[in-house]
Amino acid sequence: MRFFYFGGVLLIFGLFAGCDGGLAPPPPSPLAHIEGSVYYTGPWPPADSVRELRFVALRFVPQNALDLLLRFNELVFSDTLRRFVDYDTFRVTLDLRGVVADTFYYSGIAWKFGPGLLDWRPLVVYDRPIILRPGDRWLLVFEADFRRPASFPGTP
Amino acid sequence: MRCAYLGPWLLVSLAAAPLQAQPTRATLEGTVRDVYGNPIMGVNVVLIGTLYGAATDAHGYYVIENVPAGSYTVRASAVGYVPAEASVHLSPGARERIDFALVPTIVEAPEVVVTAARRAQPVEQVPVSLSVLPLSALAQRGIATLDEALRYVPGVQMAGNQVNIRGSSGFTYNAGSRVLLLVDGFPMLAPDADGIPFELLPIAQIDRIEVLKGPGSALYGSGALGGVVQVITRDFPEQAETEVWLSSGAYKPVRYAEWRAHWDGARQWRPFGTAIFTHARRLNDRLGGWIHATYLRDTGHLNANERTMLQGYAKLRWQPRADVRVVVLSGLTWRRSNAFLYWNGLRDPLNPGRIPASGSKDAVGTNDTQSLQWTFLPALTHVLSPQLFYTAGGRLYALALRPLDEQGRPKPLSKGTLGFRYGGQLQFDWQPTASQYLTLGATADALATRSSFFPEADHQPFRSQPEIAVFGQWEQALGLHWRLTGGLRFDAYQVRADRWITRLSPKTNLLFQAQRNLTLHAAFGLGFRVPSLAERYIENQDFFPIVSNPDLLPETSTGYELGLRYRKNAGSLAEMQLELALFRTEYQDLIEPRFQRERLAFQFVNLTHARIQGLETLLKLNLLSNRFESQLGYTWLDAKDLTGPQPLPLSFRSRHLFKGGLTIALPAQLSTGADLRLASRPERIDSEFARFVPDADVTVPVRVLDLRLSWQHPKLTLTLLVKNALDYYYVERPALLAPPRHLQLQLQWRP
Repeated sequence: MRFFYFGGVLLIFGLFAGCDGGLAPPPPSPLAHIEGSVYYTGPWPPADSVRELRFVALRFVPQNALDLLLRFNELVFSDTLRRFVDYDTFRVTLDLRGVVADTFYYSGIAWKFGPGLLDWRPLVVYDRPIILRPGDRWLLVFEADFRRPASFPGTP
Repeated sequence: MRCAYLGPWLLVSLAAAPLQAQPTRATLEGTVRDVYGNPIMGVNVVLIGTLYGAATDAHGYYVIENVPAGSYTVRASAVGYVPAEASVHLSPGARERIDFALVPTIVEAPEVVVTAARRAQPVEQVPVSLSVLPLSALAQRGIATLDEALRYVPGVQMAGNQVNIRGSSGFTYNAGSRVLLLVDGFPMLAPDADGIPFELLPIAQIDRIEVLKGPGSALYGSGALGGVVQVITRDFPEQAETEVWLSSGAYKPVRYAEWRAHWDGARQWRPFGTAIFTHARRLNDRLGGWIHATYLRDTGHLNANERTMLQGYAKLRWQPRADVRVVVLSGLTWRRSNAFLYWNGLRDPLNPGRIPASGSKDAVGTNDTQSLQWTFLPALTHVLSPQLFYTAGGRLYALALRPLDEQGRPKPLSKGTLGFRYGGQLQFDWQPTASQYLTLGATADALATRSSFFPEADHQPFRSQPEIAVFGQWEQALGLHWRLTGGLRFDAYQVRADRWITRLSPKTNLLFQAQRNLTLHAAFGLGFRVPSLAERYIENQDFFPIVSNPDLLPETSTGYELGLRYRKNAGSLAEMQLELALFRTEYQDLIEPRFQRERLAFQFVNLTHARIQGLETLLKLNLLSNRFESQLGYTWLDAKDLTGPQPLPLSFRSRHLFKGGLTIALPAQLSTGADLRLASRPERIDSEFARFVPDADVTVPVRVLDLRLSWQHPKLTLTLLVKNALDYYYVERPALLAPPRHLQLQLQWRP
């Protein structure tokens, strides 16, 4: 009887001797990411009206396009997004070494509609705070329609 | 003149009075013992061809009262013993005694099951794969809900709250079940999303759970796409019984500091507990039943994952005549819970996540609700002759579900769900000869649900889905060794005012008894599932962006199986049972959620053509007069998604499943045991979910070990359980961490 008992116990623990503990937190990283997708639902404007598209996250709430220029060091942005597609993805990586958290109050897809330096406007926005800590990965989903673009908070 | 008539009348009356007072009914009693003279408890003693019967008590004693005078054949049967029969003639007022001595064997006394063919039949004659989990196995493992119980069944894998029988279901975000739940033969899927309501039934009042593996729509209709879970509730005993179960435990604090940093609750032991009271008795010679109350409180191993449940249930059995029986099962369940939907990534899996989207608010990964459920299941059985009887039954399942606001107060019902599932069925069973059996029946059911998740149509707040069906099955023994079964069912579902969906589901089974202890079977059957109201009409942005698709088609399946059962008994030293099955199921039009770019939301669509084939083995071994009991089950699945040009692994299916159980009797009324569940990591999962929920594509193999130690006294059983003893962190479905190690102490007291 004892043989069966101890044999069974030994078998079970032997089976698990080399096992890990399952899921675990990813290794620590000073990097944080904002990732997401943007889906375009309406028709695209002419090419000269869509000169550039980027995902932009700001540590403040901009009132107009001039704010983007004046507080350029308080925003992060993605690479240029593809134009004339149904959807695209974006990713912004931040190095938060030595930082507990970073907060972005206003983010969205920025649309450069003309040749001028200030010819930028929001196409679609996410107006709730994004709080990032080292290692975080924040996912966002946007639905964009050029017929109904967003506007700067300071714009009437 | 008047007195002249009165006198003779009075004389006749007085003379007749003793005759009228003489009892017209009789009583049969006796004991059932084994060949060594030990009393056997729980033996069913029945008068064949009637509904009269009783079960033996702890002393092996049975009594069947109020039996009409006549000649009967009495049968005594119990699991593990050869059934015995005797003839008796009962005179009016007589009290006859018949004692039985049963010969123990596992070869000739299989368990009795009912699922496979809508009728009671020995497991040896069931021509499909079937697993049975008796109440003793549930109590031994401290199981409180049905989903917990199913985790111990070989070939079954839970994906959150979805049941996978041989990989049938995958994970479809909780909408619609590809496995049908039956309670005493009645389908009981929830009226809101056609899911299995795991807390609907009091687990302590379950006699056994049977799991039929493979498509079963030929007898049970929609929902039985991948299999059937049949729950058989207990009957009342001959002697009054009261039982109290108290169970309490706690989840171990999480071992990773990074996870604890996001939620203080993970630093402490998180308690849970259950209190159960049951009382069962015979009220008189025609009426008996049981009442049951459960209180359950679980603080949960995750943040915002608490639940509290109060449940009251009753079952009554009334037998007005020898040939008529009425059974009513009814219960009320109040539940308040936070349903944790998806985590906040692998850095923070203990908190619910959210899906930030360019709308007015983010979707959140927890759903707080308060619900009230009422079930009512009346059934009447009438024996017309020893060869023919019918059962007529009804069912009502009402659900009122209210979401909770930020302060935890229930919102109005108009913000939640009100659903009703109701209907009835009639079934005739006719056994013209010992080698033939015919089952014929019809069902009519309806579903009416009003939900804030379903937009109104034509100012009709309730969405409905009536259904009717007729079915039949013929079993024919061909000589001594062969048994052929054929069945056919026609179902019609009204999915719109102008649209009915109809299905014809055949089945064929062949059983060959090669030797007394060896049977082979071949099975073919079709299954289907009509899309649930939730899948067709849901519109929601609060928890998950999802939109409706009213044009969904039914899912269908075609299953084939070859199986073998072998039993060997070497006296009291060793008993062995081996089961082997090769199976293959083709699935068409499987409904899966897919992200629709133009709608910026998920939508259920008929998408997947799949094939699941594999092998299942089960070995049960009892040694040294059951002092050592073990069960090993292994399932190999080859699950392929055939939708695209190249076959791909089917999402959320594990290739290897292993379930092992061991119980060892120790001296001093102690026993110990262990259960082991292993599942390989799914080869593929749905990556679209991971687009919105961080790390939703992260999976690991499942390796769960449960340990238990029991001390049993005639009136008291104490059990200490360590579940997930290795404290292994894993997910059963995407973005939901399964419970870590938790300790549980259970007391069963039978005063």
